[in-house]
Order: sequence, then structure tokens, then C-alpha cells
Amino acid sequence: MKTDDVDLSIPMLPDMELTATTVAESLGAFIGLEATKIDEVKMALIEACINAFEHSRSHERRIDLSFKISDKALTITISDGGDGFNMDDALRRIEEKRDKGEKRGWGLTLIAELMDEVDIASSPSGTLVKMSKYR
Amino acid sequence: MSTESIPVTVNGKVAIVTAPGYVNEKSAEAISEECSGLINDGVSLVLIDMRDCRMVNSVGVAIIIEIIEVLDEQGGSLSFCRLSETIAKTFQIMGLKELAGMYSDQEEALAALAAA
Ligand SMILES: Nc1ncnc2c1ncn2[C@@H]1O[C@H](COP(=O)(O)OP(=O)(O)O)[C@@H](O)[C@H]1O
Ligand SMILES: [Mg+2]
Repeated sequence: MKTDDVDLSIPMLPDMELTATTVAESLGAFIGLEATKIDEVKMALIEACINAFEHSRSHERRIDLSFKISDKALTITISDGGDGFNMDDALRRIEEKRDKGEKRGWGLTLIAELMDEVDIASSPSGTLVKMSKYR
Repeated sequence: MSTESIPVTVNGKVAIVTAPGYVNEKSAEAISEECSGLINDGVSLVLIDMRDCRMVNSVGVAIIIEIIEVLDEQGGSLSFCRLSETIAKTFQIMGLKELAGMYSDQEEALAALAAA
């Protein structure tokens, strides 16, 4: 762990995603990220957290977050310790839901659109979302 | 968090609903219930004032989109005013810009709804 990283562990309970956003907000301000960009980070972070709450099937029911700051970017990793998912299958299911007129299935799209760089690594030992916003 | 109460005022044919600070599943359900009540009372034009709303999530917004469909079926519509830049962007990504009116403030929204 790098000395200037900030780590946070939150329980998978309603509204706990807002606790994570307060850390993102203060660290974003700390590195001089403009207000709109901070809002975009907060919105993407909410989506990543609620996906972990809703879909991860984690036994521990906790999310580990790591916030990495530099003069160039704020990078957040969200790790859920769940049983993972297959991205291609998820994208196919989203298509099917949209075709049926269902309104859900926007979280991953929002994360991709609101952040500058996103990497999702999922395996049977959990999902790791790594997302960055540049200054 | 305690159960949210959603403030509603009526201006002519238009019901103005004030969104809370965070539109998630729970508060969107509360807004949805308010709207069902309004529809039962014969109101089909709803304006959601987003002035206090800082954050939304996709689960809450999905519920709002369902409200739009119900209002549409009644020959009405849903509009929003005073969206933050990031919420406007989120709505645009989720396709709400094509489904609902977006106005800068209540005055502009009410004028447009009265003219429609
Ligand atoms: N952390 C996660 N763990 C397991 N599955 C996930 C996770 N995040 C996303 N998914 C899968 O990807 C799908 C799409 O997620 P998303 O775009 O947020 O839409 P929604 O949450 O509305 O279904 C989910 O339905 C789920 O199957
Ligand atoms: Mg989701």
C-alpha cells in the first residue's frame, strides 16, 4: 500500500454508498478536481457500490475501497469479495432487458460515461472496479 | 434514513414535486406514490423541481422513467427543472432527455406547460 492512499471499508447497508462519496469529495477537492468532475466521480462511485450491494453475493457483506490521489488524477478501486460476473453475459442481459422495455441496466454504462478510465476485473473471488478521473 | 416526505404543491394544472437530496430506490418510490395519488386526483402534468437534489442513482431514475410512462398513458407528462450539470448528464445518458421536459427553473417550466 502506498503511503498516500486512503482506504475505507463499508458495510453493504442502505445509503452506505454516500459515506464513500464523502471521501471521494474531500479527496477530489484536495487534488483540485473541479466541482463538476467531483460530482461525476460521486455518481459513478454510487453505481459501483450499489452494484456490489445488489449483485455481488458477498458473504462478508463489506466493500473495500481504496482512493489513490496524485496531482493528475483520483483513482478509486472498489472490491466486493463477491462471486463475480461475466461481462459479456451481463451486457447481453442488459440488451435483452432494454428490448423488453425494462428500465434497469444503466449502472455500468454510467460508470463508463462519467469516468475517464474504467477497468473491471471480475472473478469467482470478487469484482474489482478501478476507475479514474483526471484533473 | 427516516421515511422521506415529498413536498407537493399545485400550480393550476401542474403539480410541482420537490425531489429530495438523493434520488435512490426508496425516495423514487416515494415520488412514485405521490404521483399515483396525483393521477388519481386527475393531475397528469407533473414538474419535479430538482433544486435540492445533489445525487441520483440508476435504480431511482429507472423508477422515475416508469412514472413518465404512466403519466404519458394519462395524456400527461413529466418535466424537470433546476438540474445540476451532472444530473443532467446522467439523465441524458439514460435517455430521459427524450422522455421528459427539462427547464432551467419553475417559471420557465410552468410557462411551457401552460402553452402546451
Ligand atoms: N459487482 C458486481 N458483482 C456481480 N455482478 C455485477 C456486479 N456489477 C454488475 N454486475 C452485473 O452486471 C449487470 C449490469 O449492471 P448495471 O449496468 O449496473 O445494471 P443493473 O444493476 O441495473 O442490473 C448486473 O445486473 C449484474 O448482473
Ligand atoms: Mg447497477
